[in-house]
Amino acid sequence: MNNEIILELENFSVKYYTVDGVINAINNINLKIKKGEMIGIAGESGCGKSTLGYGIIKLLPYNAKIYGKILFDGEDLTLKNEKEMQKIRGGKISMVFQDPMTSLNPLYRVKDQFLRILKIHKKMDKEKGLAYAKELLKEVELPDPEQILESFPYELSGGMQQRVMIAMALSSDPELIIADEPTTAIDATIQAQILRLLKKLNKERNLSIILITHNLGIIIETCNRVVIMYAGNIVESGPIEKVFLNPLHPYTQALLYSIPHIEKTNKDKDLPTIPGEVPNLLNLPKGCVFYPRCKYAMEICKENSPKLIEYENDHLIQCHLFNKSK
Amino acid sequence: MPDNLVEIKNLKKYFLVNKSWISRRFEYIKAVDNISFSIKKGETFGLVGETGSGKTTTGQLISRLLIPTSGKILFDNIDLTNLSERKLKPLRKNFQMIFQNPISALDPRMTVKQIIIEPLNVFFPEISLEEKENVVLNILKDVGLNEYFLNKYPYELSGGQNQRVAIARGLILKPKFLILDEPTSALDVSIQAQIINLIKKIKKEYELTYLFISHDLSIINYLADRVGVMYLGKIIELGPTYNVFTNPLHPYTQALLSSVPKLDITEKREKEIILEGEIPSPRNIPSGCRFRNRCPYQMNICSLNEPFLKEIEKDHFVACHLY
Amino acid sequence: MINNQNIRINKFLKNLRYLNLIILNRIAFISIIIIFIFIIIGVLAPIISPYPLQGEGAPNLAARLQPPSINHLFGTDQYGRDILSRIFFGIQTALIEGVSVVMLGIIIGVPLGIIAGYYGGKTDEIIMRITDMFLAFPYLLLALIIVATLGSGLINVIIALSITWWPWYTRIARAQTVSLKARPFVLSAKLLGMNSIKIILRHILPNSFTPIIIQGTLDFAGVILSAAGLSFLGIGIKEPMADLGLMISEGQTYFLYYWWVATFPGLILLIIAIAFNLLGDSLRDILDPKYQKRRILQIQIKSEKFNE
Repeated sequence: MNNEIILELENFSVKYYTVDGVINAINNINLKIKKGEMIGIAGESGCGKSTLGYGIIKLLPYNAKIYGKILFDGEDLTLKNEKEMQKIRGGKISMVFQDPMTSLNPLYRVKDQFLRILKIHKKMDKEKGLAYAKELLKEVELPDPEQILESFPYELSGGMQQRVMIAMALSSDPELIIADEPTTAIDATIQAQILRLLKKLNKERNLSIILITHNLGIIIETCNRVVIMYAGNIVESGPIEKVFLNPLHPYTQALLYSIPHIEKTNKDKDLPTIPGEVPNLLNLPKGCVFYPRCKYAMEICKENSPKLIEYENDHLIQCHLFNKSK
Repeated sequence: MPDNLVEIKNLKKYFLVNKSWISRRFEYIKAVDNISFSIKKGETFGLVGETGSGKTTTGQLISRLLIPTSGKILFDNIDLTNLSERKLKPLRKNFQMIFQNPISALDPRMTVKQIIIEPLNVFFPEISLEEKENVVLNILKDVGLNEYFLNKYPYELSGGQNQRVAIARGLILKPKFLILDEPTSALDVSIQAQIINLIKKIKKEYELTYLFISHDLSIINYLADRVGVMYLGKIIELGPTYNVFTNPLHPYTQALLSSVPKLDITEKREKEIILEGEIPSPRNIPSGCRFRNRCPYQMNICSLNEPFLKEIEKDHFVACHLY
Repeated sequence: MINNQNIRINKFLKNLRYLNLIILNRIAFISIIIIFIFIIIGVLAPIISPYPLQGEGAPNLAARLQPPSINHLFGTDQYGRDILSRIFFGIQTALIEGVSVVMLGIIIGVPLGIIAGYYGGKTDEIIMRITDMFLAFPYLLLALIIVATLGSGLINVIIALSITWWPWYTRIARAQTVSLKARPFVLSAKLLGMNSIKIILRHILPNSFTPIIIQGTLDFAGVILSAAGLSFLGIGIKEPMADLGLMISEGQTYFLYYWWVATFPGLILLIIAIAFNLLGDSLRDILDPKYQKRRILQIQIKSEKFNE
């Protein structure tokens, strides 16, 4: 993995305009993704991680507005119109969704869905397309690719469907794959297979992968870097060794400790919890978004939003506890 | 020596599918295929498994939402298996169930108060409304809510709050036994911890016995005293949680444990076991040992004979030809 | 401490909430006003008609086929009767038809659907096959048979239409029941040992109201149109009773030179049908509990503009 940056988000925000008001789904974040990097975006519901994934390829609903810049391949994607984006989606940037059952069209056989994609993005005819599809299915470790191509999605198990999705995502030789909760709907033992597959693809193809999930364990197992999001902000980010060995942000710490760990957690004590609930994105208070639930809350936290600063090499933190400015 | 509150003997549940009138062929889904175990009074028994393991069906059989195809269910030494609904009804206040998705576990047209008070209306209609309301208020406090929630509808509450309401409803009859079927799987991580703590707290306060069904091994490890691992309708390993998780005997248990993502970076990952292949469909169960297709240690005997649970170390049982 | 007073007040406020929402949704509001006007007209027809006797059918041959004027706002028909009055009584007939058929359809169809859905198995099969049989029957044919055997008239029109309409409610009720049956909150009721009837009445029925009410509202328009169709063909309501379809049918002959005889009844029929259709559509939104929350907030948002 070299240091070439393939995707950069600059002052990136997303607002949803709804009947209930303006939802600040993502609040002015900056993020750089290197080529060949596997980066995990972690957070609970409402933190903005899915909006981030969909926002990068501008696949948000009509009432969402994107602010800032999305720099990919030397171009700003926010300036592109829908037609140009359609070339990029499924082209240089592919997406893998959470529930393969609903992402694959139940009415068409796998081979037909493949051929359609290959026709659009690679201009392949039927013969070449099928041969290429078989190669891809082998690469995602599916036994008997011919049988799979002839099948309808409902005839395949969840794990197999997800592999088919990944194969389709690979078909255009993308530089970046965005995977939104790819293993949440899948059994544990199959999940292990899928994660191993993603790691393999990341290495062999030097493919950048953005892995969006609420499961911190998956990120530790597979990713190089992690970004922790809370209520639309990046609260901490960095290489996984740094962030998970030395979690700085109170939210990161609380999140890690509240998950029961098979060996470490003391069964006689209660699980450490984060008091309160995730904030209402319609009415975010000024100051730090985590202030109401933070056990280290200070006066300054109520008034000022902390900025994301570099604590140590590559380990970024957004918290007044670490403001070195005196 | 606490006696067994629940005893399951040779329980089977087969679902009939594809009854073809013409060829008179019957196909069965063997959701639960001859399992036996007991739950001691006061313990938390964990039931672990993936899709198709039969763990949810087991919960529904014990609570008599389903009628077993064969086998016996003993609750407090009473045989529930073939009891008529009429005879069963007075016993029902002794066991209740908490479901996975809190929003669909509550009637969307009822207020929180109506939801929680309903069990009282069914079992104690003679009690005055005022008394019932008192009980409801107390239970609400026990689950961490207050009277503000009484007139709210489920759609107005968060997932965690809804699950608390569901737990309040489960507790109000002061049952002896609670079946919890994946009660935290649909909740956010930070809320999961709150609900798990609540589940622990009320177990002590209400002196409950639990059957905790989950696919999440970390939670089972934290809460359960003993655990049963299910695969395709059978229990393949059974024993105290500590033993089963530190010394897993069955290859499936080993693979399951291995698939739990480690949260600690410093831990050196010991041999990673990733199973190949898919979970077979319950309609097409392999002959002999049903796990053999994915087992890294498959031997000849595995395709011929089905292994039975054997006690390998004290209280720790496994069904595998390796032993 | 919970106060019984509070409970009563809360219940009252809860029902007001629906009223508020209807007012908020303009389409629903307008259609309700129109329907309300029609109901008043229908109920009070004998009192507010300018010529009540003529409305009921008494002829006035001296004033045949007169164009709209001050005395007769909509003109007179071929028997010299004031068309406006006839229309008022026609509305009365239409409302009676609509209410009766929809009510009968629901009373027969919904319980059958719920029983079929809840108990499943053979019961389900038998009920649904019977339902299918009735669905296959075209209402026109059925109406002909009934008129042939029982004669024409309002009651028989209602009978004929009810027999063709109930299967739709069975289908809807069954679909709702089947989907609700598996939901955990129904299982939770079973865990209390509640018997099937109680579960159906307390849990399944209240959660099935919405699609049934919506269908009923939309059907109102359909019933009125179908009844008008039967009368138009001469196998429904007969003279001297007032019926909009009958009036259109009779007005056909005179349409070239005396356009008002058929046009005004036709227009009124159109308005009634549209009003009920619109109401049915917007009811679907109103009865959705999540919609309530959104609409109430929408008023707040409209008053404070979005700030960029």
